[in-house]
Amino acid sequence: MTLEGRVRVAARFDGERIESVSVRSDRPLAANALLAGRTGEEALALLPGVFAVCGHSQATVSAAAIDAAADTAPPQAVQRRRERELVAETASEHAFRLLLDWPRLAGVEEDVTLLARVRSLLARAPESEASWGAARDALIGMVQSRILGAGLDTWLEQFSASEWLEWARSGRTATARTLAALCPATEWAAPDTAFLTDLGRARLAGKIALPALGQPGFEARPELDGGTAECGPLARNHLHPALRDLARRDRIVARAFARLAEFAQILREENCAGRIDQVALGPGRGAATGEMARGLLTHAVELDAGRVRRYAIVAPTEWNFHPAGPLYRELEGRPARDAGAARRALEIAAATLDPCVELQCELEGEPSHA
Amino acid sequence: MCLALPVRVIELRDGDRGVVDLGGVRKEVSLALVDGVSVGDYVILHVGYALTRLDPDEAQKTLETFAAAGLSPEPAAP
Repeated sequence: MTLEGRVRVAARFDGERIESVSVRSDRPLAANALLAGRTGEEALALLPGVFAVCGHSQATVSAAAIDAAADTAPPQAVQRRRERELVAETASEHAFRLLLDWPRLAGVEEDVTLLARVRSLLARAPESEASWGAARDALIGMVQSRILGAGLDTWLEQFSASEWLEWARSGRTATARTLAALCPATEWAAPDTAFLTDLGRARLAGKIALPALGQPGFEARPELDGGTAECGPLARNHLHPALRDLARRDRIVARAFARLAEFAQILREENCAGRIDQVALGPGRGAATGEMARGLLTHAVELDAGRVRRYAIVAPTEWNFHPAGPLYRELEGRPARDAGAARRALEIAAATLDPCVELQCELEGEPSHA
Repeated sequence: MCLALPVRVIELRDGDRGVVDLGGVRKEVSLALVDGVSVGDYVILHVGYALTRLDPDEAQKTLETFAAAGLSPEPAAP
C-alpha cells in the first residue's frame, strides 16, 4: 500500500452529453494497519499527525469512538472542546476551497494572505469558549468585507437562489466571481442521490459501523440501504430554502454555494455543539461520527483488553466518490455544448464534492488535467 | 494527499517559496501558510502548499509509523 492516493474521473463526450463516466479512488485505507495492536491512548496520540488535512477531525471522532467502545462518555468540557476542534477545522478547510482551490479552478485571483490569517485564527479558536468567540469576532469582519461584501446575516438570509446567483454575478468580491465562474453554462438537474444526514444512533450502528467492522470492502465503497449517498455541506444544509432551490436546478451550483453558506453559518454559531455523536456497539466495540468539512466521518473500533483489535474509518471521500455515487450521477448524461464545457463540468463537479486526495480528470481524447 | 507524508525542505526562495525533496525529485512549493520554516525542516504538503511544519524528529517518527504499517511513500502506479 502506498501513501499517495488520488481520485480519477474519466468520461467520454458524445457531442451532446457526457457518458461512460468512471470514478475511481485509490486513496489508502490504512486505519487498521496503523492502529491495530495499539492502546486507545496510543491511537489518539498518533492520529493527528498522520492525516494531512483533517487530523483534528480524525482525532476527535476517534476519541469519541474509543469512549463508546469503553462505554463511557466524556465530561461535557471535553466534548465541547472536541466539537470546537472539528468545527474550526471544517471552517479552515472551507476557507481553503473558497480562497485558494476554487479561485484557481475558476481563473480568479486567489488570496493566500487572507487564507493564512483565517487559518491562523481558526487554529487558536478551539482552546476555550472565549477563544472561539474572539476568533469568530475577528473572522466575521474579514468575511463580511473580503468574502461576502455584505453583512453575514443579510447574505445568509437572502433566501432565494436567484438573489445568491445575482450576488455572484455582481462580482463584488473574488469569492463572488469564483462562484459565478463555477456555475455551469448549461444547468442540469441530475438524478437525486440520497443525503446521508440525520441517521440516528441505531442506523449509524447497524448500517455503517457494524458493516465497516465486519464487511470486507465496506470502507472502500460504503452504501446505505443498498444505495449510494451524498454527504457534506449540501447534505447538511439541504433544507435551506435557497440551497433547496439551487439543488433542484443544478447540484453543482448548490454544492458550491452550500460550502460558502456553511462557512458563514459556522461564524454565527456561539457554540459548536451537536457535531459529534457516539454509540456503543456491545462489549469492547464502539463507533462515532463527526460532521467534518467534506461530510460524515465514521470511526468504528473493536478493543480487546484495551488494545485495538479492529479499526475502520468510513470517510466522506468514499461516499461522495463511490463509483456509482453522487459524482457519477452528477455527470452521467449531463449535457454540454462542446468538449471543453464537458471537461469543465467534470472538473467543477469533482471539485465541489472535494476529495481529500489529488484529483485527476480526463475526457477521452483529451489530455488529462489534475 | 490524505495521509501526511513529511517532505524535507532543501532550499528557501523569495516570495514565501521553497524547494522540497520528494523522494529525490525537487519540487517548488509555497510556504505562505506556515511560519518559521528553515532548511532541514519537514513540511506536510497539500496541493503545492505546505500546511504544517515538523521538526526532523517528529517527521522521522511519522515516517517510521507509516513504514511499520506497511505504507510506502512511493507514488501509486498510474
